[in-house]
Amino acid sequence: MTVVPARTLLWISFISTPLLWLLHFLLAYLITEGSCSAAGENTGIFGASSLTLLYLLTFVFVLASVFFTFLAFRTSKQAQKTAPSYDDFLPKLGFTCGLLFSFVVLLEFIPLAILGAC
Amino acid sequence: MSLPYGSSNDDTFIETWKSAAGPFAWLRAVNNSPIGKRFLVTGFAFFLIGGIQALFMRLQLAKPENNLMSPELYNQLMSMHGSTMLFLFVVPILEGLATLLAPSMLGTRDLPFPRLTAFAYWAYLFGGVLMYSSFLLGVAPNGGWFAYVPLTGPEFSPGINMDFWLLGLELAEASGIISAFELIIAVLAMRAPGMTLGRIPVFLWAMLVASSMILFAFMTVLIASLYLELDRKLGTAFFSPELGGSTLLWQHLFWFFGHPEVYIQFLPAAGIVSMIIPVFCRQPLVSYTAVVLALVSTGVMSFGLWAHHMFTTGMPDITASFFSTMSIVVAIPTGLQFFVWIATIWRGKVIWKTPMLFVMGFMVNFLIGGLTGVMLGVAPFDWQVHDSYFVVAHFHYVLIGGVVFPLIAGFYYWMPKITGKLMGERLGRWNFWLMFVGFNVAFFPMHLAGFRGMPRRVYTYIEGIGLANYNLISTLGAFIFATGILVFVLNFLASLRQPNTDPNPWGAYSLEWATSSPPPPYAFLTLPIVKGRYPLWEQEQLDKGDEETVDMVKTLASWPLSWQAGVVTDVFTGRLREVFWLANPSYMPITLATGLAISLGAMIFDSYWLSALGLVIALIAYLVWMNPRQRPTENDKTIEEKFKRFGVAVYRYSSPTIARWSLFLTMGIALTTLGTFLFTYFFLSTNTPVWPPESAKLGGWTAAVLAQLFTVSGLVIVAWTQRYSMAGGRTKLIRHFAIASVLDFVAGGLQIWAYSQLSFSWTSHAYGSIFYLLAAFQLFMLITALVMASIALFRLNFNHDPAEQERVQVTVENARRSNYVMLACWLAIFFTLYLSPHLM
Repeated sequence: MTVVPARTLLWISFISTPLLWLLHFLLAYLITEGSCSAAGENTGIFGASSLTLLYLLTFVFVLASVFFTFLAFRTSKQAQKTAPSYDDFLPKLGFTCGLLFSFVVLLEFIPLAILGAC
Repeated sequence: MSLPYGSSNDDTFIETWKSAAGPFAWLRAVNNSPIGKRFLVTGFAFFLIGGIQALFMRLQLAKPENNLMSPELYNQLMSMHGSTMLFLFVVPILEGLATLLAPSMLGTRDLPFPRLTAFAYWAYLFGGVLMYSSFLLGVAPNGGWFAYVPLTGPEFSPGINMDFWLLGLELAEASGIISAFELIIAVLAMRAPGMTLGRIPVFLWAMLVASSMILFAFMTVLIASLYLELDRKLGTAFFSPELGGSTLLWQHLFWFFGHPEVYIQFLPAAGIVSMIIPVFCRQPLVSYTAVVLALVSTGVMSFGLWAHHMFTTGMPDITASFFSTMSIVVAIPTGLQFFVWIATIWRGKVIWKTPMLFVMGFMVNFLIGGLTGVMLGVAPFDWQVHDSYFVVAHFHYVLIGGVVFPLIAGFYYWMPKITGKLMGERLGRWNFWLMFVGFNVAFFPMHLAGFRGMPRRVYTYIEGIGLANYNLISTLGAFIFATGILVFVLNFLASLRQPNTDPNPWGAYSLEWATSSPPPPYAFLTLPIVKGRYPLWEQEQLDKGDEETVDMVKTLASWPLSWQAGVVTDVFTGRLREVFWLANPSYMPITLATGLAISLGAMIFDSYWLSALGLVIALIAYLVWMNPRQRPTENDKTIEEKFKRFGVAVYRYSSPTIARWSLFLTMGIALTTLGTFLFTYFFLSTNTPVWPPESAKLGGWTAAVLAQLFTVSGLVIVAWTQRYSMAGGRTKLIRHFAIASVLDFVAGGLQIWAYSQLSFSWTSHAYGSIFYLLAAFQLFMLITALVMASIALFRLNFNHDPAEQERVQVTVENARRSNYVMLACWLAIFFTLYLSPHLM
């Protein structure tokens, strides 16, 4: 029997990694904005070093992005079985978005690793 | 002669869709075709006005120490040139093009809310007129199109110049949001049978992405404008550093809108290019998926670039590196699109018609603009050329090279679908070469002038510093470019004397070319059945498909004929789901826009009674709009039963699916507004050593906590209603909504009492300003939820018509969802105002 993927899953598989990237970007920006003075001094945030927080944040978001990319891949395969009556385009697009945005989250992290926290 | 596909010769049907008759009928028009054309004409008129302003500026800069105009007049021209091109030309004209073309490209009949389409146009027109009326009084906006504070604040711009800008902008941008709202719903929910997401024309994918961006980006500039107007009129302190405000807050909010705005303009232009290249290369795009991926990812990434406009404001290196990285990374999807276009041209056989010439011009110019953009993304480079003419050259290469060239290409390409005529090829080539040469002569030297240190936004420069020649060449180029635009206008006027052309003169592939040139007002009587991405190339007949779909579209072609019917299709499967009534012509959209324009215009002159009167007019117009007198009467039970068997519901009012999408998008707008307010609160908190200020004492804690408990209780009761069906649990639904509304009402009272205990006002300090604004937003959300609950209660009590029960069901669902959003806002605001100061 062919299983039609749930509609919510189709949307999630498409939009999750771009949103994860955006969230990572905004959180990383807010952490540095809150913990670094314009002169480059690191005051930390919520009692933790901002560098630690940013490492942790990036690690979690990369993992989540990879998970959702895989989910999009699986949903796309599932939707393909029902094509053409049921479109597999959205999860396929989600999978390519997932690959791109997982890479971008990592890429954003490079200056952080080189420059340090502030 | 047989009719073009989808055309009708049924008198009743033609009469139903015909534009309203009468001397003032054009004021009532609501359908996409007339309104789309008005957007195009008005947008182009603003383009000409903005262009003339640019020519005067270039004349002033043609030689050093020129005194053709005063610095004040130059500032006014510069401010209005930028504002006109960015707010009144590009976005409205692109939305207008989409408004006009989307239904026929989608193989459907109209946009989901015809009256809203008309309102968007009038709001846009009145917003533009409001801004330009300032010239009559000699007080045109003079603070730049970016309106940086403190220059535009009450201290340094005490006149009414910037009030015209701010309030005119509010109306024009609201129009942009409304058009975006409609286009999103149309693309997602109103397509021809079989047009799945993977078969949508690329231009409409681009409009879908750009429209989604508009919903988020435009809200931030609307809110920033609100802050500035409140600072100017009511003495709030959002941008007053001495009272804890921040001038950088404006830059953050403005550029959070301003940078995506560039992509909001570029993506539809790229969509036009992706539509034209396959037609003139006789070759499908080599990768449709890659192009859509590029559109989506560019749109999302554009929200991570805003602070690259602020590298010189002083930010930690690591913060700059995030924005620098993204400014460079965004070139990846853009490059991907570029390579798809090149590969498509490579594999095809190019037909050198005018639209294709403009596309090639776009590729050359935009490549230069894109590469200088990557250069500017590198922070140390940006520090050197910031606020120089290098930046002016860069963004003109992006906005003229990357947007105006594709737009003109689009006009040449789609003119048969706008006026029914083809524009001349000979004049078209003159048009292209004059624009291409003139553009490069005008703007390329600006890179070099910038390197030599010419600052932007200045009305003159001194002699003997090596800038005179560059500026003279730029001025000459500007006039050559303007001649090209003049040739375009002449070509357009000449084309109007030609007979109407064939339905598909270019041999194109998308559905708008299946119908006549120009398309009839209803676009298609028999909806086409789509089986691929290039239907006119891949399908011999558009009315063939599986038996059930053929039967459905044929049935729809025979009924209803006496009322304008729109169709809703499933987002994923592209199957027909609903037939619904599209609202008929009305004076209310223009009345509503007039009321709002009066209200905003009166505020400029501090005439608050007139402003209130404008609001009353707007409110009355809205209520009349929402209760149309003429409802569809044509009835055919047999056909409705037949539709039912196909799984298609018929509604003689708005579609429940569209109502769900509308609420979803409205919730998105509400949450964006909340996010912007919260960003403001926390951003301001990082600017002040003591936050909240010591003088700011919060009273009424108990009442505030109780208010939260009441709203949470109300929500639990509302959430509980999910257990009850309309059939069996109607009384329980009524009871639960009534109790929840009472609880919400009490919560509102308690919260107001808590706020009455405060020891500060909105003028005391920036903390007070944002505090009161958040409080006002909190109460606004509560009122919205109460109104939604009241409508649900009203319909549950009084609407027992079996045919309308799904509509009642949707009202209940929407009331429930708006309650969830209201609670999310309440708790976020309570946490921010009452709890967060103790955590920081």
